[in-house]
Amino acid sequence: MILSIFLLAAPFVFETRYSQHVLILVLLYITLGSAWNILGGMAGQLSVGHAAFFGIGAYSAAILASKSELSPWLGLLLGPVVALPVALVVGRICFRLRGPYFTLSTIAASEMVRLVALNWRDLTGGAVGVVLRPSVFSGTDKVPYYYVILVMAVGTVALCQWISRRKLGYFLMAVREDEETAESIGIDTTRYKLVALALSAAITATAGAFYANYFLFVDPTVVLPLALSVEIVLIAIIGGLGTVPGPVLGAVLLKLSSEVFRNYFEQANLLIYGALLILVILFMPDGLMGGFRKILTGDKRQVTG
Amino acid sequence: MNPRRLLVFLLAIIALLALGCRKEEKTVHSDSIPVGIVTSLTGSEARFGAAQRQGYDIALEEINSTGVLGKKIELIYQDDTSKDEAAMTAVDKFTENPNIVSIIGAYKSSATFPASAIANRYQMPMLVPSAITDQITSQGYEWVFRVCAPASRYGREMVDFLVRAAEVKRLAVVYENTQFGSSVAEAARKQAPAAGIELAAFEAYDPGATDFTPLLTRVKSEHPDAVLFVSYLADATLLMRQAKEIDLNPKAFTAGGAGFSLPDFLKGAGETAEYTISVTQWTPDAKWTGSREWADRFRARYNAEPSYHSVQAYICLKVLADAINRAGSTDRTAIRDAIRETRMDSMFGPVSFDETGQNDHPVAITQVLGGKFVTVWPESAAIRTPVLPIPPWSERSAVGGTPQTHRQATVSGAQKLFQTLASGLLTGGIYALIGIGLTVIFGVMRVVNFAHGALVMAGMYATYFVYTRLHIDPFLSLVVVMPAMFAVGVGLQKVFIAPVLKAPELNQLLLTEGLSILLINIALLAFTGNYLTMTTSYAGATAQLGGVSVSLPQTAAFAIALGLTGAFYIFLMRTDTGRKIRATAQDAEAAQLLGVNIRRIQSLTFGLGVAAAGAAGTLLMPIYYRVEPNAGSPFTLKAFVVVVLGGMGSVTGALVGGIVLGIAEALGAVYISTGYKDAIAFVIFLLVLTLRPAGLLGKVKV
Repeated sequence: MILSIFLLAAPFVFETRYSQHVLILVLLYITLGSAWNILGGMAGQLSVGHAAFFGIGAYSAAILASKSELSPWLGLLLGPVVALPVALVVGRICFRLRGPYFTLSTIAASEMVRLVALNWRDLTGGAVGVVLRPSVFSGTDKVPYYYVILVMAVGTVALCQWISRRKLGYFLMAVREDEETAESIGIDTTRYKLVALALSAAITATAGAFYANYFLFVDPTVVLPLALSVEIVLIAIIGGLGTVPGPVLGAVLLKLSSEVFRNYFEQANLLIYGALLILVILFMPDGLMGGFRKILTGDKRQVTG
Repeated sequence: MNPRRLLVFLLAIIALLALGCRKEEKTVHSDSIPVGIVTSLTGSEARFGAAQRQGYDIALEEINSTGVLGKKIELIYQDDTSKDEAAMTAVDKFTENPNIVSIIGAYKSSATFPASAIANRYQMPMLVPSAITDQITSQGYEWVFRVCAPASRYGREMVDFLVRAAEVKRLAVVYENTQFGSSVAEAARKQAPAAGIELAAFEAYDPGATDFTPLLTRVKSEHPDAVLFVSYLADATLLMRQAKEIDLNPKAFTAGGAGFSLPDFLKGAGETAEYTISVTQWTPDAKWTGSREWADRFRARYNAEPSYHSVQAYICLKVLADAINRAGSTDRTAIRDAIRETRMDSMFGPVSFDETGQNDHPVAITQVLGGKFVTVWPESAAIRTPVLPIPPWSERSAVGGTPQTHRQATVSGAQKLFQTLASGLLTGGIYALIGIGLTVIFGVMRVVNFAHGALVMAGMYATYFVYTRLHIDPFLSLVVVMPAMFAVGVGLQKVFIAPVLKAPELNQLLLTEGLSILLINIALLAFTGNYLTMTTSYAGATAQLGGVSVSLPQTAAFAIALGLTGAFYIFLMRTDTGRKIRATAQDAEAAQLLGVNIRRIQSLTFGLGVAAAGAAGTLLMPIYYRVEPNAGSPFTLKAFVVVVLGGMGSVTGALVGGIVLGIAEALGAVYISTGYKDAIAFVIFLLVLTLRPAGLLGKVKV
């Protein structure tokens, strides 16, 4: 309850444009982390290529703006529509692989999307990118954007919570824990992996379209870099793989601390990421959520295994 | 697990950190006028940022000696770390700060263009010193003003020069796929036909691409009269060196400024910079009032040659000070109106802005003669006439190799093919070495080492320092670097890898990824994001075999890589320790039962893998001559492709895989498209994994 009030009132508490920007970023990454978690955490398929879907969403909005008279906000619908077939094709190819091979194949697929965006100049503007004109909202006020992304973030987390309580969640968990056994008892693992991927990709694409409308500039380095995929994974992992609050925690912690570090110690930002990741894996393999669980309940079992 | 407690905890964190965010306003002296400056003080374009800063400093001193409206100007710098998003955030923050009266910046086109959109949106006057993409002044922004000439001007002057001075009919354009590169390339492309110039090639490359040989081979086979390069510094140096290596001999090498016009280029490219022709916005011998004196002052103060990047920064600040004086106030709108009315005569020429905010600044063309930039065009500004056609490489350098007795008129299809195969083969050898390290680590420990590329980078840095500090030749430094990397590998294994050997694969993956991030950022902190370049006496030595130009250092690297591979193989097959390693790879438990010390073997293997990666890094230095923290990253993925091609755990497989990848990439780059060159690795990767997962030679199950 308090949380809801806080969330709704936040943009008026934090009045500087910069802090509103940070809030929006945090919510954006909560959305991205939770969406990724459906595939990575719940289904156990570690994709390090989600930037591809983000980029597809962002470019959908951007291309709508630059090539037609339609509002780029329609990109929030167009993005997932374009991302879905791509996801299914990629999924068909990559899901044949397991473990690190799967991960590598997602990186390869994502990089190919980036190269297409970089080279297909007529469609995407290539390296030059696309500058969008502010639409609908005056473009100078960040508050409306905040509420849009708030809805998205809350929606995504709610979706994760919902999935985890239903059959789908259990099937995904089965796939994650032991795919071969799951197959042998009749679960169509490929189908469920594809479902997880579809959901994950669609939400990520929508978030990408939002970003295009918010940032008003899209180019391959902004929306399609490998670093973005890695960051999404990190947020979900550090927060707690497979748990619902995990990505929320991870996004809040990592994004806020990254902004704080940027103000005081610019260069060490990513260094902290790397060090954190290593520390978490070595000492808290269930992420912060797992760590909390252990601290608060004394339970020493590992969740993922 | 109490959700409420978690919530409270969360809120506490948010509150704490948000409070940290609040402290934005820096205290500003009431008797100063703050001006926001965005530039690249660190990161890949730091040299340009430094040059700009020098310009700003000189201007500041001049301005504050008399003051503006009775106060001093205070410069508030924001470093965009050469990243576009950071520039946008910096401008955003400036616009929100009510004390800042105007901003100047950034450096790169790709950063300045989106940043200018923000400045305009929030009604902040912005002066653009150096970003040339035409788009900045074509959006109808009322608050943005540019002092430098735009890309379309570059195109016009260069095309004019090519036709009238050089009589060029066929032009090849090679440009980096960025805002800056594209805008100049497009400008040339648009204006060439009207001048009767045909485009022989129009090639974009991914900035930071290490090997230009396939691209240049492709260009060479099109027989251009002239080549136009559009690059920043690091690529400029490498392009000229490799142009020499493959013996590309157009009538003229031309360039679109930036990297090619920095004094650092002369140092880095050495004698290969001679005769290069470039567009410039200003030279010390320019005929505007005060130019020479300004250049002398710069030299005296900084003990270095000035470039036009410093001048542009200087002029922006001078224009701003002038505008504030005329506005009589620090109100942003008043300042903007005053800027519009600027009519200033300066050492950068006359400055005034048209209705799009563009200053009508002429560009000149320089040629590097006698190791200096000399203005050669247009006639009114020229110090002397240009040297055209430029002499071919063989008549120029005294470095070894077979000299050509005549300039080769045509490149036959067969020659193009062999040239491509040659460079593919040589690159493939290095790929193989990197792959071997990875495959051995996986074979024994089933660990997928995402940090492999970063370790190659470490080897490169080690070699750089061994060469520049201890003056040991890179090839010889293998003797030092390999054992050092081996020790590092053993150390890493004991501290980071051993604890996760029993953990799920996911964790191992993430750990090595974390290690990679850590290593890269340590390098960033220690050495900054700038490219570190070195050069050897035998740099650029080539041998001509039937019209195919083969780089001698690259061949030596290939031979050594092959030798190391062979040594590895023999070690694994014939020695006792090698047998133990193979036994552990086959079945660790059984090996342990038979008395093999598994822990030692694991440490040893990781050490060997890292040593191989480091060796590859060492061998890369005499070929590419430069290193920066992200230089190793593309190799991680390529190493995996190599290993997958050859089969995980197979040394011979890695050798075959490496060479296949190298050749496939080279063929793709030359015959299909340079832009999609990296995609070839990915396609091969996916194909092999789905069709033949065990690899071309391997038998290990995926």
